[in-house]
Amino acid sequence: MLLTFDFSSPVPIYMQIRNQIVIGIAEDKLKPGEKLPTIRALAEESGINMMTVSKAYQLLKQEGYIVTDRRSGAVVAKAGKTAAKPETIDALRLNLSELRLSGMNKEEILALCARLYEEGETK
Amino acid sequence: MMKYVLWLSTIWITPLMSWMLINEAKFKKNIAVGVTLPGEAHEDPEVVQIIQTFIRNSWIVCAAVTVIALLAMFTIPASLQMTLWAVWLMFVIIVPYIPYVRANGKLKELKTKRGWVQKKQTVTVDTSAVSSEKWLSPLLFVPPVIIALVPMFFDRDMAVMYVTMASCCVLFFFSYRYLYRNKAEMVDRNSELTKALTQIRRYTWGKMWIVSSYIMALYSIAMWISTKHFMAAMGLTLLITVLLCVFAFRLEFRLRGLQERLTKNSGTDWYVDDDDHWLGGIIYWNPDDDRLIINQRVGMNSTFNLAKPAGKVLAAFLVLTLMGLPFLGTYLDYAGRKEITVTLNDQTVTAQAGRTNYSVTLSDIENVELLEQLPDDLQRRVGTGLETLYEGRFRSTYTGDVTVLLDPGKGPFLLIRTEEKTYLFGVREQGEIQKLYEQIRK
Repeated sequence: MLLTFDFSSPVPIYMQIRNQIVIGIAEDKLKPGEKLPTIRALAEESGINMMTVSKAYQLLKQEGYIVTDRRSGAVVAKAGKTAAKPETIDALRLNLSELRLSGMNKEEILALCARLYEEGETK
Repeated sequence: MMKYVLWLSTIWITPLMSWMLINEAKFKKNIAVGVTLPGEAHEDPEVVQIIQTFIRNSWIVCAAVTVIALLAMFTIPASLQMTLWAVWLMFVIIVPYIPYVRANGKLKELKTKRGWVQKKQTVTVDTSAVSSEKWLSPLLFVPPVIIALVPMFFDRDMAVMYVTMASCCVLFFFSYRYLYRNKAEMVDRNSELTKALTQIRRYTWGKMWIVSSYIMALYSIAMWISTKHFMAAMGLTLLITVLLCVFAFRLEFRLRGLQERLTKNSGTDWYVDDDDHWLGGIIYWNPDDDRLIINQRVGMNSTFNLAKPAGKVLAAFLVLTLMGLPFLGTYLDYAGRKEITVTLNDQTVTAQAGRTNYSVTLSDIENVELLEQLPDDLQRRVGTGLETLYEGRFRSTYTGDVTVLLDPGKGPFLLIRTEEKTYLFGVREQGEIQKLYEQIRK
């Protein structure tokens, strides 16, 4: 999987790492049990500070997307159904509102959601 | 003689540097002359034109700098040789980059004009190809350190030299371990290609330092064997230098060749392009990169991130060293010409040149000799060994350890032995030393 970091983006780098790994897991580019690069290796590779990478990994661990142990480092957590978090629902509500305000109707929004969902499945 | 050694030992730097830079005209990892271009641009007539002009200009610069060196070697008076040589050396390091930077600028302009620039400058990491190879064990560097130190047990007098060579082996380990950024050689989305490129670079880098350590150990043994024969030692030094250079350049060009072949078909879809961080294609400047040591994009060498404070300090140090070369040359010319006096006053023989001062009390002298020529195997241990000035601690079979102050081209020389030390003095004025010799004898 390719991780791309944009240093001019307003999104903090640790969130960029977190978001891309979450998308990677959802789109099956990162499989359950797959090893992620170590914090040191990812920092060395990208030029990002080790603390920043560590922050992203801690967040992913807290959210249950990855598990870490001393021997194998960070690995993608085994898939399991969990209830969507209230923050995720809130973010979706905000995004839907923005789409409505941009002039899209319900059908168009649902079609867009369906397309994005399918894209994630086929990637 | 010395001036020929001086010029001939450095004159080869220009063609070698030009050759290295000209080799960058061939596309490797989609990069030519420090500019990343898509596959479609590699055969573009305007690109080809810029690259050909760069190659031609580089050879012209190389020829000009070499001719200047040859002219200087045969025409410039000995008193100015060091200054001119140092100025020439400074230019040799800078001038070959002029055609390179110009071609780099033109290619970047063309890249923008043709829309070959990727919209966003981002950093991309292939998680499946992140370099996880282990470093070579430091134990592999232990045998050359031990081998380099072995002669010390048989030849204590030259211990400093053997310890220096063993230290070089240790330094090679640290260079191997810390002057390389453990980063994948990503060119495009092809993870297998990234892994292959990373592996061959890592292998080449390790081989370079390991073999260099063993060559250095070998050099230590060779110097021990030839310690009594100055010309043999010089010849061996030259041989080892050539061996090291040939080995390093062979590795570098083999790696470049592999990089060229393996990435020939890359650049058709998405490809890595971080040209914005490479000023003139040479200087790496990226404030977003937390690392100081950066792998150069082509070949196996490393460079510094000049956007980091430590990078700026290192760059300033290198620039100052480079700019200081002419001053060093002038100083050496001056040092070689400074007046040498040997006088007998108040029962003391005093030899003086600048701040150097050696005194011998007449009553301490056990034996005094007048040497028409210097011993053949006279070797410097600590001090100055210029064409017109020997100053410091020297050694030869005839004299043993000897404190020297003389111009080697102006005999005869006064050899004074005391119970504790031996001295060898000489002055530039004819007849002065004979007079002094007779006065001491009286």
